Amino acid sequence: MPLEPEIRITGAKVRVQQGKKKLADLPIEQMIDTIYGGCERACRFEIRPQNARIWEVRGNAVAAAFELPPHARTVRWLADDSKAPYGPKASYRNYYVSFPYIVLLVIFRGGGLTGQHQLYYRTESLDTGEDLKLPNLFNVAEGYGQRCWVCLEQLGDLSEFDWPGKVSRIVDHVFCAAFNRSSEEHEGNSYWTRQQSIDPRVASMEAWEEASREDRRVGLAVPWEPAGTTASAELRKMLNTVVRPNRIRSSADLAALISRGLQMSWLPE
Amino acid sequence: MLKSRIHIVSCGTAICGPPDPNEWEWGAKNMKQLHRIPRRATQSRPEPATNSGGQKDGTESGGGMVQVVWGSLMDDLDVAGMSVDEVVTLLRDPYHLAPGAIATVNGVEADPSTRLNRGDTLEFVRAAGEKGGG
Repeated sequence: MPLEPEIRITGAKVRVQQGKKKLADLPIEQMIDTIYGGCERACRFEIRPQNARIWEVRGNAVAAAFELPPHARTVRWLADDSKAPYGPKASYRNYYVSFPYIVLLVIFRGGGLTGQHQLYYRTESLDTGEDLKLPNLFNVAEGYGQRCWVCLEQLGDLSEFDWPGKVSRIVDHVFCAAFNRSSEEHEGNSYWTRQQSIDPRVASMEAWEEASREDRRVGLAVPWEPAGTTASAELRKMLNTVVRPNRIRSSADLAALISRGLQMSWLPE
Repeated sequence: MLKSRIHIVSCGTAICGPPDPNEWEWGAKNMKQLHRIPRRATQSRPEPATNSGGQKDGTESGGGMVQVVWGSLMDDLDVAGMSVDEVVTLLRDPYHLAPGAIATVNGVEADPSTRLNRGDTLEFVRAAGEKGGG
C-alpha cells in the first residue's frame, strides 16, 4: 500500500514527499500561488461593467481601470466672471471640447468608493501600453497620496448599485457635473492650472473649444505630459492603501495566518 | 432657437446611468438593433473624414458613423443621414434619455429636424450638479 504524501513546511520552503521519494520542493509563495490559482473557490464568472480594462479583486475590495474612448462633448466649466470658485454662487459656461482616451482608476470596497480614485489621459488605447499622461482638468489634483485624484465627493454612496450602475454614475459625474476651482481651494492645486501651458490649443477653454470644433479628435493630438507611471502601478499602490496584502513567505507567516482562523483577506469569499 | 427636448423612457442598459435603477427595463429590440449596427460598421469603417474644417465631409445622407454621447455612454452609430428627432426616437428606450436633455450637434443646440452628417457628434446635454464642495 502506497504511503500517504507528506508536506513539510520549514522556513520559506515547502517539501512534498512520499516515503523517501521527493515529489516537490518549492518556495512557500509558489505553493500559495498554486493553491490560489487552482482552487475552485477562486474562480468567478462575473460580468464586468463596460469599459473595465483592468480588474483585480482582493477580499471585498476591487481595483479597476476604466478606459473611455476619445470623444468630444460639452462640459460645464466655471465662468471667468463667476462670483465664487465653487458652490451655489458659482456660475458656469458650456464648452464643447475634445478628450483623448481617459483612464479612470478606482478602488472599491464593499461596493462603495474608498477615496482612492484617479483620472489620467492616454493618446492610445490600453491595448498598446499602460503608461499614463497628466490631464488638464479642474477637480483633478495631486492629493491624498494620489498623483491625479479626481473629485467624486458629491457622488454619494454607490454600494447599493450593481457594477454597471456604479461605473455609469462615476463616469456621468466626471463629465456631467460642473468643473470648478474646488480643488484649488481644498487640495491647493488642479491639473487645469498646472497644464494650461503645455499647448496653445488647450491654453484656455476658448482655445480648447475652438480647436475641438476644427477637429473633434484634437484631444489625441495634444502632447499631454507623461505622468511617469502606469495604470497597474497606480492601482497596486491604491489597492495596498485600502487592503494590505498578506505576505506568506515562511512557515511563521503561514502559522500566523492559520492561527488567525484563515482570514486570508485577499482570497475571494 | 428651437430646443430638442427629450422624453424619458427607461432602459435596461447599465451604461447609461439612469437616476433610479428600479426604473430600468430592457429595451431588447432596440438594443439589438443599435448594437448590431455599430459593431458591424465599426469593423470596416474608415476613420471619419476629418477635414481641416472639422468633422463634416459633406455626406448629407446614405449612412455613416456619428458619435453619440449621453452621460457615461459614448458610442459610434451608423445614423448619418437621419434627423436628430429620428435618432432620438431610435435611442429613447435603450439610452434612457432623460427629460430636459438638450440635443446638440457638434456642441451647438440642434433643431430636431437637423440632418446628421458622418463624423458629427450628437450629444444629449443636461446639467448634473457640480463637483467639489466641502
